[in-house]
Amino acid sequence: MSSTVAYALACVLVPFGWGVLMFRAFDWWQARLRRRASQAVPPPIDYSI
Amino acid sequence: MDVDGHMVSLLALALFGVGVGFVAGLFGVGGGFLLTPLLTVVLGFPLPVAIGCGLCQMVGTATVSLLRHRRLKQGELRFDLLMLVPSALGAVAGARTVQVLALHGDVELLGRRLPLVVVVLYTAYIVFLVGSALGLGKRAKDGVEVLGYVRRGPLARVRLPPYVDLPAVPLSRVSAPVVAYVGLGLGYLSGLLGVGGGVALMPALLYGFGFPIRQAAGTGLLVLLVTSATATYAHARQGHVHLGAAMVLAIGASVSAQLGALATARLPARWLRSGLFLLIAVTVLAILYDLLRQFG
Repeated sequence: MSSTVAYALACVLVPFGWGVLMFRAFDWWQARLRRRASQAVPPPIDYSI
Repeated sequence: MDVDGHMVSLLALALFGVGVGFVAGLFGVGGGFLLTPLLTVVLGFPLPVAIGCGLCQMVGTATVSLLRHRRLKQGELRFDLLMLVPSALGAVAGARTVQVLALHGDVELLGRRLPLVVVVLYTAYIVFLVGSALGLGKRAKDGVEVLGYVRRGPLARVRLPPYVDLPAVPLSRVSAPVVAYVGLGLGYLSGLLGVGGGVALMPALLYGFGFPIRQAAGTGLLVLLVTSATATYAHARQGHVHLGAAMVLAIGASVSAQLGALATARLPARWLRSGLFLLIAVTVLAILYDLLRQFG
């Protein structure tokens, strides 16, 4: 295994980037679920007739 | 995959990541305290490499946790900032200790020659795991997890200036050096054992300082990220981190941790706590078995 400065920095930055990506992906997934839930709601009843 | 001259099955590593991630999500812990010793005992990683890889994948999980809690505005950032520098120093000191122990070679114990690093770190793991189990047991007995108010703990009563106010908790006139020493200890544990220290920090925040549970859960995550990043860098400079293996673990763990967190809502709290105790007991037994095997 390498022990250069570049490799050591990569060992920190690659999992950090993965963490940010996972956070964004989970956010996107939750927003999608919320959007789907709001679309699944039936339209309000029109009492005017 | 070749990890420090030791062939490890990629599938086994991925499954291991999935398993530990699920357990971490299920019990709401980082999982480092299980991952690092089990990487050595089950997959045969050399102990310093297991510590390095455990810390490296922890950078990813700590990033996700920190971003999520920051969005929910949970946790006391001032407490994190006070611990930041001492914990980073502690992490480097812990990594150095591992290096010194690894360079020391073998030690004679009961007529057998064993690597010093294995003897010292395995003992430290057992002490740490048993201590964590006792801390969790105390929480279970006192039912503190339902506390929504602040009860000033013994560490918050220490009179050692300068003092700092923690408005998000809220606590006033807390000794800044005491907080810094907690950070130093946490960082050292992280660099030495490759654990996040969440299992040690939570009892310190809840009983030591008297944080309410919601604020305690969000506090320490910035420190966890900085500590794991510093310790990863220090271990990588010593050649103890296999980035490929760490990323396989991180990818598996990040997906299954979400599933574990979803499963938590469906299980009774008593089962979860018993499960965590059982897991700690199995890890301690696995370490003892490996130690006895090396004796034999």
